[in-house]
Amino acid sequence: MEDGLMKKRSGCRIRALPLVWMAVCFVLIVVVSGWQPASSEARPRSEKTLVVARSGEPEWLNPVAGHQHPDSDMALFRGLFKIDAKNELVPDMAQSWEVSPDGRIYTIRLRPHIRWHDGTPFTAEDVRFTLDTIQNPKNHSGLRAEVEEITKVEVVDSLTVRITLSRPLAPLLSKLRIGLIPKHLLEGKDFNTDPFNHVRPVGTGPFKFAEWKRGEYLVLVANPDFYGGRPKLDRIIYKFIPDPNVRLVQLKKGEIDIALISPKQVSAIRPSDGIVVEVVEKSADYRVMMFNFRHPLFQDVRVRQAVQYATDRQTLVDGALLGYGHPAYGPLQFNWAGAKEIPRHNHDLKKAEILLHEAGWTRGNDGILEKEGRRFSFHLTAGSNDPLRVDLATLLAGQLKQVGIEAVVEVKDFTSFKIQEVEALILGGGFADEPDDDLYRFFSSHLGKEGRNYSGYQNDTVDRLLEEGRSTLNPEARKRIYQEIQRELIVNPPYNFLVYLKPLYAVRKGVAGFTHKIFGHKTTPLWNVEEWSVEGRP
Amino acid sequence: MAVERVLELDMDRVPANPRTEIVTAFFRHRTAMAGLFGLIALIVLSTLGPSVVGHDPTATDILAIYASPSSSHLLGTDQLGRDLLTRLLYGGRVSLLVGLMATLMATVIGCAYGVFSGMAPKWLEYPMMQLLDALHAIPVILLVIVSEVFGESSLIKMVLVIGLASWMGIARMARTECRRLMEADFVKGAIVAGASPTRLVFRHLLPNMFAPLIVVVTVGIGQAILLESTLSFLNLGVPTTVPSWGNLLGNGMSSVLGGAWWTVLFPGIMIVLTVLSMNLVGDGLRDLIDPKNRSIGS
Amino acid sequence: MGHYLIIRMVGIVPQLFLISLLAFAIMKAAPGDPVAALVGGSAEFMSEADHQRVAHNLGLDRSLIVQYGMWVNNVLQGDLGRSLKDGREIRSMLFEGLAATLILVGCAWGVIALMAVSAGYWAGSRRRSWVDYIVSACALVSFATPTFWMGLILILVFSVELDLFPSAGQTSLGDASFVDQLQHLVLPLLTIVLTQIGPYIRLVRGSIQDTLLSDFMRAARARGLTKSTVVWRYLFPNALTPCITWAGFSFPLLVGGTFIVEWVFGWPGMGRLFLQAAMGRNYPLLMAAVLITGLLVIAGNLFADLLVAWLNPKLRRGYGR
Repeated sequence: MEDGLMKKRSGCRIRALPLVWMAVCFVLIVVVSGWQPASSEARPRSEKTLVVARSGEPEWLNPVAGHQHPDSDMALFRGLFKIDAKNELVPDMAQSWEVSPDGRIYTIRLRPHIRWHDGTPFTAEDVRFTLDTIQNPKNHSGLRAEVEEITKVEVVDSLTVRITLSRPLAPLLSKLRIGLIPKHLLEGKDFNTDPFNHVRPVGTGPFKFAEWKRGEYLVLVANPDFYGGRPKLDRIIYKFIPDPNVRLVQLKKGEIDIALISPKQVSAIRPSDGIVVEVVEKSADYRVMMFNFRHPLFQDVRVRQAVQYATDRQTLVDGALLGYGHPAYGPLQFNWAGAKEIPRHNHDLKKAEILLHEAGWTRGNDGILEKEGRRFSFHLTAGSNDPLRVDLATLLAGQLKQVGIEAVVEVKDFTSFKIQEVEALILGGGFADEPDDDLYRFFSSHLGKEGRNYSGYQNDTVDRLLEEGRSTLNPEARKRIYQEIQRELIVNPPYNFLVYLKPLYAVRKGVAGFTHKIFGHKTTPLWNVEEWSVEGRP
Repeated sequence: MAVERVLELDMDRVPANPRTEIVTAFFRHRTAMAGLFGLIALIVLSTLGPSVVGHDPTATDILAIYASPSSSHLLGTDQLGRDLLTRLLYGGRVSLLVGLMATLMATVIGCAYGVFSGMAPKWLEYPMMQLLDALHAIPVILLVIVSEVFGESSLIKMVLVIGLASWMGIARMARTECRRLMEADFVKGAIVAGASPTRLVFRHLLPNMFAPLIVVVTVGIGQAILLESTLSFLNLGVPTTVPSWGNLLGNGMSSVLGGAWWTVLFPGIMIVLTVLSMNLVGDGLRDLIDPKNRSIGS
Repeated sequence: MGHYLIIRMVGIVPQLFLISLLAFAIMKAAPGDPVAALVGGSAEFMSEADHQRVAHNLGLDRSLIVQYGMWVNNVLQGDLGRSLKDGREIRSMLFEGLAATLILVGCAWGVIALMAVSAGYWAGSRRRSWVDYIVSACALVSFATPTFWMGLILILVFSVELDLFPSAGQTSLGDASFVDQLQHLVLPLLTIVLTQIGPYIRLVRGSIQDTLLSDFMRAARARGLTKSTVVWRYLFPNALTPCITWAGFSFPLLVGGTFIVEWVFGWPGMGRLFLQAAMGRNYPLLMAAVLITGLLVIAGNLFADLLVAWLNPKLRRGYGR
């Protein structure tokens, strides 16, 4: 080899210098090739731009897909109804409505002079098209179960639509908050692959689509013809930042204006950062430990009650939420239909031990309960994208261990498992407005695999009450029904309710529009996006 | 194929009497001794340490959330008030164990593949080399991440995944060595004398590969530990509840901006020190096998 | 040279076949529910019948050989399929990511080459001096530092505390100027260079030391040639050849490191795409990414080999015969 080096030198003497220069040129070429002229969707400082941090990126910009990205959906697309600052249902693109005496036929009159972002007038045909699209089994829509009671949608005239139901449905108007999509652009197209979903979304909302750079940001610009008046902002930029820490860094550096932060990040915000932390004191957003009823451990109601008693909720609030939350005892504590006072299962290790003993469980040598040769041990799964749920699971596992229950915490990416297949899960949910939304999907056994009854909960009393709650139109009567459900869910628990969160939003000074109300799961502070404004930016 | 030329430079020189010479020379090698000392210290700390510290690595204490380093918690606590020193020492057990077992597995697979392809007839050798080259073209970290998609996360799976993704370097080296040894007179002699293939492999080939092998393996353990920490940091590694160094780091990420610098600093330093020690020992060994001190990365 | 090129190209074909087979096999064997991924975690809204229908539409119920055949056929036509997550064309997704990754990898390679050659020469020509010891120690530490940890430390120090460089992304919103892009490049590039340069420095240093001791160097100096002539015409060409070979061989390491850096710094490249795909069980994207990465690495190897061949006429002619 050394000889080889000797011989070959004659052939390559002068090539070393060019070699180094080649490297230099290579770097320069590569750098320059990456340079592009400033993009047209730049962020001119003179314009009123709000930069919003988002943890997840929408897969599609199409509300009918049912992917649940409420803030960008609300800015681009609007539905017939919406909820206001008091969490009451008010008409949005609807103007008035009538219900037939049997509660099965709704005649809805639409607000006139609404135009799609491309200038085409909005009509009743679009409403029918949207509902048809959801119900068409060929389309990948996640909302089909939501509208299964709708049997017929008729266009009476260009601004009136008549919806016929298979049975009375109290939450129908609430369900009609679904964003509407334009018939003239999507009719006859393949819903599943049409570029509408990615690059050409057209809605009726206060903001129009401008640019979407995958993995980075989505830019919307003001719609001057919005039927609710031109929004105060010129531009909204959603930045997609999955990592909560990166969000915090960018917030502190002024690169974003508003972001959801976790309780443990509050201490990182210093007065010099120019950030206000908005604490949403009341929110219906709960975190629970879901029992999977397919697992033999959780079939005995005494065991589930014991788990409830073994849970020290105040410690969870203090330890995982640093006090930014409330102990949770049921799904409706912050819902209008919920009772103020309900029986509570406070932290009581004695009661837990007694119940477990009654159920036939005794302590084994390692301190873990045993029954007929089986250890009381299960996996408690928590989603990897939310450190808070992991903390909750970890603390809870420690508490359950005191009564001899072993919960092995398992952190997984949400897309990597089916919820129906885990043994127990830290789950989130809860709304402040329509009680049926959450309860029916989570706890009714009627929907079977269609619904979100992940735990496989089956309770005839709850089933009957839920059906009654849906078909009763009188609000007071409904309230009584839901309070009864609430009590039943404590006696025969489907979930071990843990905490209600107080969501924390870090908002840059000079940004106005944050309106406090009772938030729900997935409520965004931008629910009133058309009223937001920015000032004081040079 | 390119690398063989590089490796062959190293492999030309084998000490006359490997055993005794290497051992005595090794103890005279200063950096190698430093590495060895570091390794022994780490092993002792992580095996005996946890019982001395007296904290439970999983015990939470909501009154001591983010306690900074002090006399009661020498290296501070994390977001649930768990003692970082204890978790670090337990983490050492996990990380060292994963590194060791995974490399052991890689060595077995690599040697088997390498020796087999080195002795195989031409028609078989070619596809075997192509497979090696093809696998080499995909970065190890990618192979590992892809394999992570299989099954539940557990320590055993972690070992399997890292082992299965990192045997190619060893196989390549074993093959080169094997082919070199096959040309040696004593092996040719053994073949003429009618030695069975098994005997050939276990009595002549493998023992004579030991010296270069141990170098690759030592460095490999360090790389396996790095891989483990990277995967755990990405939440694709050992179960999050097991306090491995990578998990501690990933966990510390959400704390460090709030000022809890200790949650990220100490686990990182532990990883660097461990891998450094491994590499120093590997380097020392390499120097002894290859007196001309030509060392490449791995 | 042309002949050598052809021989090398032909040698790549079986590798490509194996890589494609590997990518496909791994992805198909993986668990997880691609149908659930398609509806973006909202699979709870789907009925069992819907589930089967979507699986059928995606061809997930066909035999594996048919699926592989379909995939290869599409790939050869330049169609890498659609992402399960959002139905977008993978080709365009990868294309966007590829540019960003190439910028990072290319710059890193360039900077590493320059720094490794200078530091290696500096240390190698002053054997057993303090320079040698310091450079060697730095190289050792560099080799032992986890990439992601280095990235985090750099972010904390230079971005959060000192506020000198941006912490994430490739450009600032609304400011995609050249300077802005350079600023965004600094920390990711520094992370890759600091954690990958170790082996290169050590190799250059060792190689320079060896070459300096060789007879032809002594002869060159004895002939009274100037120092720069000796260094540029004799030392570097001979000492750097094994280094280039190593650079080609270790290219996968560099690419792997780049992927991690992309994740830490939110760099919109292939690595981040790939990691997201792995976490979201986005099989078509994963398969395509394995294939493209393999291609990229093979191309890098080829480049290094050709460079060596170009420097070494003996090899070039040997193949030509």
